[in-house]
Amino acid sequence: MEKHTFCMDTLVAQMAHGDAASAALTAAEAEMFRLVRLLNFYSDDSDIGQLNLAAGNRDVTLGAETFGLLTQAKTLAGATGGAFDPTVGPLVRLWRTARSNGSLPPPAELARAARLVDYRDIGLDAARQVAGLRRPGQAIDLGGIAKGYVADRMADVHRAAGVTSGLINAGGDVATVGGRPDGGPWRIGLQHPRKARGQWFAVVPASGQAVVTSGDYERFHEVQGVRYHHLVDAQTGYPAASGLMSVTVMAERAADADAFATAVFVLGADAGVELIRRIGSLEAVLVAKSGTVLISRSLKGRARIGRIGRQLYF
Amino acid sequence: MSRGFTVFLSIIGVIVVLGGVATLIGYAGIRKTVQLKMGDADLAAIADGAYVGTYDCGRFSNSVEVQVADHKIVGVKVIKDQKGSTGAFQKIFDAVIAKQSPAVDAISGATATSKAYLKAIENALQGAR
Repeated sequence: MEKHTFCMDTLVAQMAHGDAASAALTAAEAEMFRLVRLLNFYSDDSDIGQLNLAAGNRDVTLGAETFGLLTQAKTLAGATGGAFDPTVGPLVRLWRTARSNGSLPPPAELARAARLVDYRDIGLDAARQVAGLRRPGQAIDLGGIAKGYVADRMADVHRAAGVTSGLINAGGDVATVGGRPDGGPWRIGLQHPRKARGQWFAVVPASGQAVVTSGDYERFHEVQGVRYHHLVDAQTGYPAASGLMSVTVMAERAADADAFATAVFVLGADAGVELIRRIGSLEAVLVAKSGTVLISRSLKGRARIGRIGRQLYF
Repeated sequence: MSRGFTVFLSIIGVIVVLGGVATLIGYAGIRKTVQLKMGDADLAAIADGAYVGTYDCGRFSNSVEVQVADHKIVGVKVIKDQKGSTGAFQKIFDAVIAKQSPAVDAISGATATSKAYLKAIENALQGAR
């Protein structure tokens, strides 16, 4: 069975097989709506909105879910050395405004915003579920992992309902429950970074893992012929220019895969590969602007990789 | 009747519902819109602008805004109570999903916005005509 829902400004597709499928699809959709309302962090009324308004001023009590997601985000920021950072809010705001105007943010404002990005300034008190941002002007943006988080939670609902073969595709963030109904793994295509939407260059197998891709081809705008994509390097304030076109990360949880894909994209091939190796439990496929494809050795013989350019296993 | 045309009719259906309760533009404009769309299955005569109304699908009721620019639907934005898709929206999604290849179960990194889907639908419709 399948179910498609328009949510989070994208299309969320679910598949589930077996007796529990129908109930699971409906319950997972309800869970998505609940989380989206709860985590609506662009609204000043939400927990994160309140936290941002109170930055540098006071701590805010968060709901259990928001506190959990923020804690997860800070942990991931630490694990990536800040290459993924949920305090990127001030930069995201500047670029979002620029994108809607077709302009570029003033460099001085970018520099000021970049100095506000530091996940270590997120104060978390687990006992009281209280959080705070140390400096005025700092702001949390969970856009980098929210879709993955929602996909994870939907997959959890499938599992709890007894589904053993299910798939959630939240606008390209894929979470799987078991494998295909025929017993094989789910076959996840990886979007070709320079071809039309829906055209893939590789197919990776997934049974219970999540597959998330970050690329420079989504959500970009052009100013005087130059493309500015949405993956911002907090070090510079500008879209990451690390020589990569796309990064796919496979992990147990889609939120983790989401954060690591962003981080590797920002870090570039060398430091990115080193990060994937260091974490150990991740698999990845990196596409460099040169066309070279870097693939986790553990995927050798399991993934089908089309010809973009040279293929190297790490 | 081709599947594409059926989908197009369902889009028109949305517009018709929107027309009934439109808040942003005058009654005459809406009526003209509906008549021409129903008659010709063509957006050529639709004025640019945002058409706001209540979109009622099954047990969900959403306020949506349909953006028309240069005689094309460039977006459908849910502006209130973003909830599920059944009915007309479901048909649109089904049609788009059906275009995916059977060789894969999902595509990672094909992040589609509602705009992109509408573009895809428009292309599909042009091919179907």
